[in-house]
Amino acid sequence: MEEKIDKYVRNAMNATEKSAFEAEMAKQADLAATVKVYQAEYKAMDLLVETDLKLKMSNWEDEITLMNAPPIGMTVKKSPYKRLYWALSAAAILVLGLVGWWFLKAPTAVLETPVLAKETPTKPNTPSQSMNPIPKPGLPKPSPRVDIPKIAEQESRPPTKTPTPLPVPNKPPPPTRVPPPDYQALAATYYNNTEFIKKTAKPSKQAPMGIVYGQALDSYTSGQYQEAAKLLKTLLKANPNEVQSRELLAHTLYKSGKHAEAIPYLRRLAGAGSNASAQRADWALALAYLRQMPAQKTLLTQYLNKINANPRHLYHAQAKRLAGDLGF
Amino acid sequence: MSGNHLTDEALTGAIRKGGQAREAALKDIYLRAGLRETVLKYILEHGGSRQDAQDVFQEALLILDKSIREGRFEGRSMVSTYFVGIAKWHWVTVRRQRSRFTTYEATEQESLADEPDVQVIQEEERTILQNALNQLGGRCKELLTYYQLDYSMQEIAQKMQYENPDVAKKEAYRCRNRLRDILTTNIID
Repeated sequence: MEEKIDKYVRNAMNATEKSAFEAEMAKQADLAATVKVYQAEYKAMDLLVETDLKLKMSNWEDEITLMNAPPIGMTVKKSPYKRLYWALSAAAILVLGLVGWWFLKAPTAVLETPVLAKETPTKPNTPSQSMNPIPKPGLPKPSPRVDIPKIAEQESRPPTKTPTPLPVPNKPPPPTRVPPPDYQALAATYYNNTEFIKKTAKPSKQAPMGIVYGQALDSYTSGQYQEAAKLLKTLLKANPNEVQSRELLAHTLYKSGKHAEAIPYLRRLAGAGSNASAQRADWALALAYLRQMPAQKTLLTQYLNKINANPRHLYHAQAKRLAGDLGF
Repeated sequence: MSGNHLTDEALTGAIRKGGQAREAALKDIYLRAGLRETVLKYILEHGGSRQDAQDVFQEALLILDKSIREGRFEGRSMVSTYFVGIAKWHWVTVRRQRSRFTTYEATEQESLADEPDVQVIQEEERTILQNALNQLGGRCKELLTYYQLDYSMQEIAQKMQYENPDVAKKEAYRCRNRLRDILTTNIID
């Protein structure tokens, strides 16, 4: 029967099957009630698909921004000195190249002279030579090549005798793998240290329903995020351009763990200019993307760069510190 | 962004197929600059802002996706024409809703687009369903998203890192039952 209900709910029955099933439902109240639950389930799962697609669109929107726009916060100005800039750059590269060539040339000439004067045969002591002994006619066959790890060991051992003063190049220490930072903990710390929403904030004059905003703020402050979100969505429906409600809703979602759902609201705030709420949104967005690391590294970097490019940005110091913590 | 977009047939086929193909097809539509401009122009000419245009564009894509998946779009018009039709219809709906809260220019002559054959979940019902979903765990939500998009059990097992498709099937069954239980106790009146 479950399959049959599923088929009906998913609109996969033909006309005959459908009318027969509906006749059956009309006779059996229990069946009709079960179908109602399945229909609600179908709609709920559709909501999940919708939420998933909304998140994807939010990411595509960022991709469009990245492809088309200059780095956020930096306006493109056509400079009259653009050609001069390129010419000077080319000249600088040329000069650097010449200087580099001169430096390379000079020490070689100094080193070559004493070697030629002494005519001392060099011993095959360098690592590359010892690893690849060249067979010479008349000489005993070279011993089979030793394992690479052993050679590595010999190389790292300090020389006891130095028959030739040739400097053995120091092998750089093996790179140590640095564990990635705990992104969640970092985001939580930075978020908690920022006062995004003032607990005593009063609704702006533009807010058409100040009382509702006050209730939403109370719910938010007391941790009743679901209730707060419901009220704020009603407010935004009435006045979609109201900044204060949007900001509170974004942080309500964020604090209830729905970081990804908060992103579209924050993006809209961040894109609204360079006022305080937009700057707060920049920083909150960086933290929301930090929550989604490593998947959202590009977007996190983009927002950190935006903040760091503006020394007057409200969160410049925090963003710099976070970039340092992340090793960016 | 480039001119190399999928054909209508390829688009609808990919969306019906689901999975990565669906995602690529939807992205293809989303990145069509011409489509964005058409919607933007319409919204700006009909009392909306740029932000409204973006919201409407996104909502139209959600509706288009659903229409194609449910077989409501029959290919009698071009996908782009259908999409713009949805966007226009949606904008009219939004304006009507806003008029309940603010003064709506009743004299405005607005060319009402035909209502597309889609079932949009009403706001009140949406809130109830969302509350029910909030009671589900994150893993269940992810699994049911794939399930609704017709991913095979093999694909679900792979995505969710289950041992095999049988485990995925059992989990899907469990999650669906859980969701129906929540819905039964919470919403059915």
